[in-house]
Amino acid sequence: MPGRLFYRFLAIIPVTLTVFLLSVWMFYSMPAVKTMDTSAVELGGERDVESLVRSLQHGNDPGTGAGIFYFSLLRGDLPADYLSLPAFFQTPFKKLSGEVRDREIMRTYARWIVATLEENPDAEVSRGEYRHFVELVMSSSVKEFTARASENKLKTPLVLAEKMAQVQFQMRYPAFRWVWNGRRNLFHYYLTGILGKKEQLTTRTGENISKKVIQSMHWTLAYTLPVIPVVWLSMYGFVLKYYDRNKWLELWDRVLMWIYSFPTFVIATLALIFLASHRYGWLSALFPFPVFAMPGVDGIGAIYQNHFRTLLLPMLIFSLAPTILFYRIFLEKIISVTRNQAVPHYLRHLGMSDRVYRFRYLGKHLFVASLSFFSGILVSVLTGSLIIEYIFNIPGIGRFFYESLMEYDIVSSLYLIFVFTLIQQTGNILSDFLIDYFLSSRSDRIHLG
Amino acid sequence: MKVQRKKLREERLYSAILLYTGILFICFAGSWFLAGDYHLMARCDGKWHFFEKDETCELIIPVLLVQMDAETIDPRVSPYLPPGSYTPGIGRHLLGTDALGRDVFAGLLYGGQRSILIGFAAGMLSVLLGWAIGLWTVFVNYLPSFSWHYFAGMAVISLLALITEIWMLLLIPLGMLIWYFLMRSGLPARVVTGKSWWWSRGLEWYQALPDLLLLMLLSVSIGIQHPGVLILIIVAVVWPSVAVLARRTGSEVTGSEYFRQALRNGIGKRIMWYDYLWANTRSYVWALLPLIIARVILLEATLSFLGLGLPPDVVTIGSMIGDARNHTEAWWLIVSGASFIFILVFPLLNIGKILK
Repeated sequence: MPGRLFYRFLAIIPVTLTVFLLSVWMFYSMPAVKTMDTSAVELGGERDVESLVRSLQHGNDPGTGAGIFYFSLLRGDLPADYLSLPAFFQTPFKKLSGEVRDREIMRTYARWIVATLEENPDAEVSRGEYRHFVELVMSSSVKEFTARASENKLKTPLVLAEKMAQVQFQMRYPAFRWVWNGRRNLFHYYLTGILGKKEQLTTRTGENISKKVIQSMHWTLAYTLPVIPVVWLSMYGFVLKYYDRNKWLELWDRVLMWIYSFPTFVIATLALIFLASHRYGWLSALFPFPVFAMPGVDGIGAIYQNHFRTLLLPMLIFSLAPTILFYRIFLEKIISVTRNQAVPHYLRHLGMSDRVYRFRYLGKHLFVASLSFFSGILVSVLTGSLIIEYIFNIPGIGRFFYESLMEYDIVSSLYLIFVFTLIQQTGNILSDFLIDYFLSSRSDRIHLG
Repeated sequence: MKVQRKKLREERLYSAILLYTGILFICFAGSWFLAGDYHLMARCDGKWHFFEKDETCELIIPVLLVQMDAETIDPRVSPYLPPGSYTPGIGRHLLGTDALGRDVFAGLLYGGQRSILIGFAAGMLSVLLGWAIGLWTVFVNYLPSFSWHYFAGMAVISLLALITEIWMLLLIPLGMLIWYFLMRSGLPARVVTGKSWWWSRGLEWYQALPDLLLLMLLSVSIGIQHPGVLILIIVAVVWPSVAVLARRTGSEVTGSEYFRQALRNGIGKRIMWYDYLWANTRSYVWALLPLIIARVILLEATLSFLGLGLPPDVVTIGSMIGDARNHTEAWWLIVSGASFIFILVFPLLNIGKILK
């Protein structure tokens, strides 16, 4: 058992790292990042285009020359500098390179683009010319490139256009080649940043991410932590009390199924409008409208001091999902124990008291059954409900993740993915361990009273 | 008593199916009669035409409720009209209008069509894929430890990696090779506890991020411009949970006495797959299907609500409710959206429960 547990914990490392690598890859290679906001180029002024180009280089990216992993697989004709280009310049570059098929020319071109983006003093593009620059870089054929280069009269592109036109014997390259990126890669950069081996990572707004995650987690725990034990105890008590009264159990089951037919976001929005908006009579003034913008409120105690009443409604909504979950688990367990097994009947026949049977025999079965969902519960307590935080404007960890995704804040998103992956796996392992502990290795614990 | 219960259950099943068929009919066929940016019938140049858009026709029979489809924005229609309002030349807004003056009832019909289509397509694909993979993880235990299947799989993955440029897929054949050598080295007795252990870790890997977060991540990085992409993304997120269930059900079959006897009798692989694994588990698929479709409908609505689903100009039930959050004065947006989701999901859950 300890050996297996050790290997399970060991498996967290490759799982987390691969999920992390895949996330980095998705952020930098998927179609969404390869499409540029062309409206800024077509409709915007010179300043818009310039700020667009600047944002490419001064966003959260760790700088140029970065492949995704320690090694990359590139098409034979592409120079390694291709990896330095912003994602949406890569597609036209690749097409152009496929036509030119001369790695040397394309390397010079890639370096020229990077130098321009880095505001290199030698760069030929000056203020007011960034629109031409973007148009030129978006060229995907030699003809297009030559036409735009001669329009713009930039020295390097003109020379390159000439060279491209002179290429007579296209080089024969292998279909693919491996490129070694060393430590200068996105995966390494983000991983060392998250593990604290580098300067602290910051969000887009310049906040320290670790601090922000801890602050957000306080807010999340403030409305999740008290809910789980209360819900667990009430469902545990309810099922044990009414285990022999089918009518009550079925009625409650039906009520919960009705609630389950509404997604959380619908219930939360309905609650926000009809219980907290103060628009529709006394009912809608039952709870205060959720406003949590109070700087300096940090730590769960301070949150309760200032916002306990406002958090009541989110707590209530959050409790619905675990209520349904626990009830379903307990109900199924009770049915399987009481109706499908001969043992309970035998125990009652032997004269076991109702109290002992109810709380020591059935109670332990229910307890063990709920352990199998420990992982899900742990994750929902720590990560909260993104939907509830979004609707009630709670600055918790789920909302932080949502906002970082919407703002394309890659650093924060990756940090949170790393944290969520760790939490989920730890929850899975603990859940398995507890089930093993109570069912296999210590099965004698469920003794007959 | 038992007969009565069975009859009651059957009646509930039939009424749920009937209700669902009604919703499908209204959403798909009825939308043309109730709301649309055309006339139901029009007489142009002496001939009658159905669903005619030409405004210059001589005689026009308009659609029953409102002359707008879900995305029509007409300057004549005011925003936030309460339910039952009437706009001359357009019709009656049975469920009011939204912030852009779009008809909410039309939005429900057309948004409902999308939700149902996405729900059915993604639900069925997820169940098929998940069930096939789940059963395969059981079936693979009865294949030779390293047969041509693995080489074929490696070749397909390598080809995919090169075509789609997802070169990280190449790590999978690499991992399989390492596994093979580990299995042969004697070390695995403690570390690698067999194929099942690896499959469990594989599924765990896939589920290392909660469903909704994974869905959001995929949506942001891929960028959903078409319902087909949304369907694929949802399938990618939902299938593992189906596979886990299929694996459990398949394992129950392989653990049974009749299966062991069949093995002793030397059944072929094809019979094992079709007549034992598939034939003994397919009833679960029918019970699971409505539940998964309901789940997919809810996931899609949630994603649209968060603004991560289909593009903002496409009306969906989720996006309508998202508007309601910002405009608490327009109660009809949330009430109609919520009721529609309930009518859509409740019969499915009922059907699934009864079939289960």
